[in-house]
Amino acid sequence: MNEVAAIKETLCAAFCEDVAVSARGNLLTVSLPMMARDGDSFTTYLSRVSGGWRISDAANTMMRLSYENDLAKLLTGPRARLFETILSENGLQEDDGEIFLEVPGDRLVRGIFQLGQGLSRVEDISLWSRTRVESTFYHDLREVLYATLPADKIEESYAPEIPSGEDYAIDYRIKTEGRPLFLFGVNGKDKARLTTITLLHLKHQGLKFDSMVVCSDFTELPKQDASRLMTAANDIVPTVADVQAIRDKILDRVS
Amino acid sequence: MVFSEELISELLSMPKVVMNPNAKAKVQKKSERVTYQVESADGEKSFEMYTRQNQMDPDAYSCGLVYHPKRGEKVTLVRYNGSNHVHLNPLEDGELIVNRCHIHRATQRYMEMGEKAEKYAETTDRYDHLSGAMLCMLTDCNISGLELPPAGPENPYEPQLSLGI
Repeated sequence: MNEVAAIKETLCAAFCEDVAVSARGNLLTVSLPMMARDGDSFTTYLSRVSGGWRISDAANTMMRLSYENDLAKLLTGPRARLFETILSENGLQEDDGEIFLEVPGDRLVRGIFQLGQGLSRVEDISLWSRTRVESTFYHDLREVLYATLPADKIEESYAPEIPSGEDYAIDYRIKTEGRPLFLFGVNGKDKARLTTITLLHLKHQGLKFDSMVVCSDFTELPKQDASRLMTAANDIVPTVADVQAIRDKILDRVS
Repeated sequence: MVFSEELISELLSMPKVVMNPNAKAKVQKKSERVTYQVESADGEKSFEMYTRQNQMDPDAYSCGLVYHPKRGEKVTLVRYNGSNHVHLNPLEDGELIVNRCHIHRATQRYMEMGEKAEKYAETTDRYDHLSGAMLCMLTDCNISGLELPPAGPENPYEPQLSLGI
């Protein structure tokens, strides 16, 4: 037996040891050697369908996510889109929290792993807490700005030269040949309101500037907050993911 | 943040009271859920206690106790699981628990490794259904103020949904 064959035999034997197949009542389950963050394995439930197998998580992934998360809040906004992307990329379907796929009879093993891989990614959605998403948003925005402009053109957390200016801080003051560009990141309704108030106050104080707002997701803002923000700002980029739009709009103001 | 074993033991053993014993069960995404607010008897510390019963697999159930510190992220102190899945304890030489009821417990050593606090689990024969697991948790964690409905092996849980096998 050559070395490759020996390795394959060893791996196959070890792998089979780590796969737990269980029949309980009318349930047939396969536990994969793939563990969630709490050490529990992903269990797949098998059932026969015409011409193949239905491989399901029996809604256990959603139940597990619910231990420490409010599902009604967790699967909204960017995380909901991430969830849909994961399902799509792994060829999975969802029925009221049950994640599954159907495969031909000769694709059972591949299907089990396909589901396991998808479940592993779905579990990680819980890591995308609001705080972390917000943190990522500001990090992403900063990266786009510094990739677009020389550092000496950008001033962060700028306190405008007005009475109590530090109370009306501007996320980024961008130097231009003419009026400065005040740029704000908005990642929710609270920041949208604060930005609106800041912009209106600066105008009331007689400052001359252009303004631009980059949102984490403009469609997520309550309608009234979105409307007020649109009125107060000169320009809005609806999502930080639209990097080209951010660059174009900034360069248009700077040049 | 890493909790010491002493702090974990103190949090688990301190007297606690369920503040909303009449919390209603609701079904969401094919599992029945109840969430209780729990406070330490002196009112200084906040916890959350939950039960989950999967509607497709009667052996897929959980109840747990989560600590909400005044600062920092919440930490699951214990979780009592059913027998529907396999569990692995990586720091115990990869010990496997195969389709047996098991109790997760927060440990200092797993937190120090940057792992999820409650990653360690031990097998148990003290319960074989959700109500039994709840009873164990209420006793183990010194929680009062909740009357459990009469349920048990004599009234086993029947799945409300079928996988069509």
